[in-house]
Amino acid sequence: MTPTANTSWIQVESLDVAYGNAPVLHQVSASFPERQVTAILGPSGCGKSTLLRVINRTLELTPEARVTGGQVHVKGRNILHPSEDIRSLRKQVGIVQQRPLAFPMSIQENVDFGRRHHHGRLQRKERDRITASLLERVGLWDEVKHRLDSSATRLSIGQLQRLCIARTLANDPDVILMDEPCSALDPESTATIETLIQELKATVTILIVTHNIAQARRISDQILFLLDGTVAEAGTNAEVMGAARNPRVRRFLSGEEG
Amino acid sequence: MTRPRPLDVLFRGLIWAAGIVGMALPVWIVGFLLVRGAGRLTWSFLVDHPRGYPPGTEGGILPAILGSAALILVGLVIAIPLGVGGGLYLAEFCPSKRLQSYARAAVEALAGVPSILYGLFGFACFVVFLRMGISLLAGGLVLGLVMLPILLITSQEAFAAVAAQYREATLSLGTDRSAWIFWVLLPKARVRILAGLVLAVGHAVGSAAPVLFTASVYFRRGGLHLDQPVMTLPTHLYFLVSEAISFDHAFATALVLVLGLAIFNGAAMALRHQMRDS
Repeated sequence: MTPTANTSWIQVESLDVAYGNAPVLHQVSASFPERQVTAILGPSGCGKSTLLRVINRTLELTPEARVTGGQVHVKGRNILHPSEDIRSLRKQVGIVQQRPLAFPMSIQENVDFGRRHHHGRLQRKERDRITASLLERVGLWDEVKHRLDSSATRLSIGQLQRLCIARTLANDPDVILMDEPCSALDPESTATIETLIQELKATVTILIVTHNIAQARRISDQILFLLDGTVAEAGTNAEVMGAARNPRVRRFLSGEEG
Repeated sequence: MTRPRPLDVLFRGLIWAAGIVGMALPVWIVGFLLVRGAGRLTWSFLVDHPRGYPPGTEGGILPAILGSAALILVGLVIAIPLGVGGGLYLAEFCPSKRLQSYARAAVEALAGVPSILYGLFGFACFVVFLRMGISLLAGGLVLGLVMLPILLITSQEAFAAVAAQYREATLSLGTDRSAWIFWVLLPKARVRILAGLVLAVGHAVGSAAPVLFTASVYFRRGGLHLDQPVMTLPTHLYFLVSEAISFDHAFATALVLVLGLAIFNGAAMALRHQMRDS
């Protein structure tokens, strides 16, 4: 997977990241094509989530974590540069976390939270229209349309994950980073999210961290495989799933190691 | 069936004994107050002024109820912004862990200071140095200081208990720190902060020593004014007993104090349930 910079929405070059003195990512280089789903695979602790958190700069919210080298370009812009507008970047590159969290407010306010912060309050009618459209997009509208003003904390975990995706989509991002979004979900909710990912990639570039090899096989166009903080394998879904060169990656993909 | 070991039996007995004593003690105290004070606890006792000679042998305790409530209100005006703000600073803004632990240790030490020292400090600082005199304002400020460390510690813990993932989820949307604090952190922490507030008020409302030197008088007629002294429930109780004015009225006053706290705690619990549900 080495598309040229022109076709890559995100380009990671020789990235080094450490937590305290412990290196987590070492000389990671990768590129992520526009409007495709890239699955990031690897065993626990190999740096998958760290890579995502570098790309929308939420890594720096962890005090001991720091980027020690390399560059990350989003649409040709080095987002690690000190002059980068972090708020604007995070709007452009949204993240859906492993554990879906409802903010302590209503369902509608949750959906509208980021958008309102960036663009201000809207007329009630316009806000309702946008909320309905986003909730329809994530397949949640029919389930919550009669209780938009009730607390979001009462939603099931599957509904909550879709709400979090709607909340991210409300910012109209170019990229969505998903950190094991289905790890806490039942098979039915997982299928809903996977269908949603397939629909979203028409307009959004998606990077998804997953432990689920079958899921990566089903939904991804590209695969990046990390081992011990370095890139062990990268390519299209067929290339990596069918003919991985790294023996450890092959064992992992075949289920012998996990 | 295996026979329980003697050490297990002993340990279980001690646990049970501790539990029973822990539960029985407050029941015993309240029961004692009810037996001794309920007979005097009439509507007119709550809404009348102290009467008789010396005042307090007859009549009621309305000025003491109002004085205590006013002192707590003035104290809360000081303690809530400083306590919650201080807790927020320590949890969210403090630049180093070391400074945080020093500040926390200082506040914990402050919480352990005997309340009479607060009274002495209030007398020297507010009453004499700032020339507030024995007044509602001086006493309210001192009670604010009494409540401050409790509120600060519980607020810091309340903020720290909100999972870091909420912070990341909020800021990852490109929002700023104020959105995180006002829309997510404070609402998430409010139930625990309210619990701290109940604890602080409970501690302050029963403290006689801080207001004895700064705010309260044995008997006073007239309304509540910031620059005038007030009667309070704990000091009224103190005078009734120490001057042997009326033990019946003293028990009834103590009962009012306890019931007032119970009502306040009950209201706070109901509010907490409502907040949790929302």
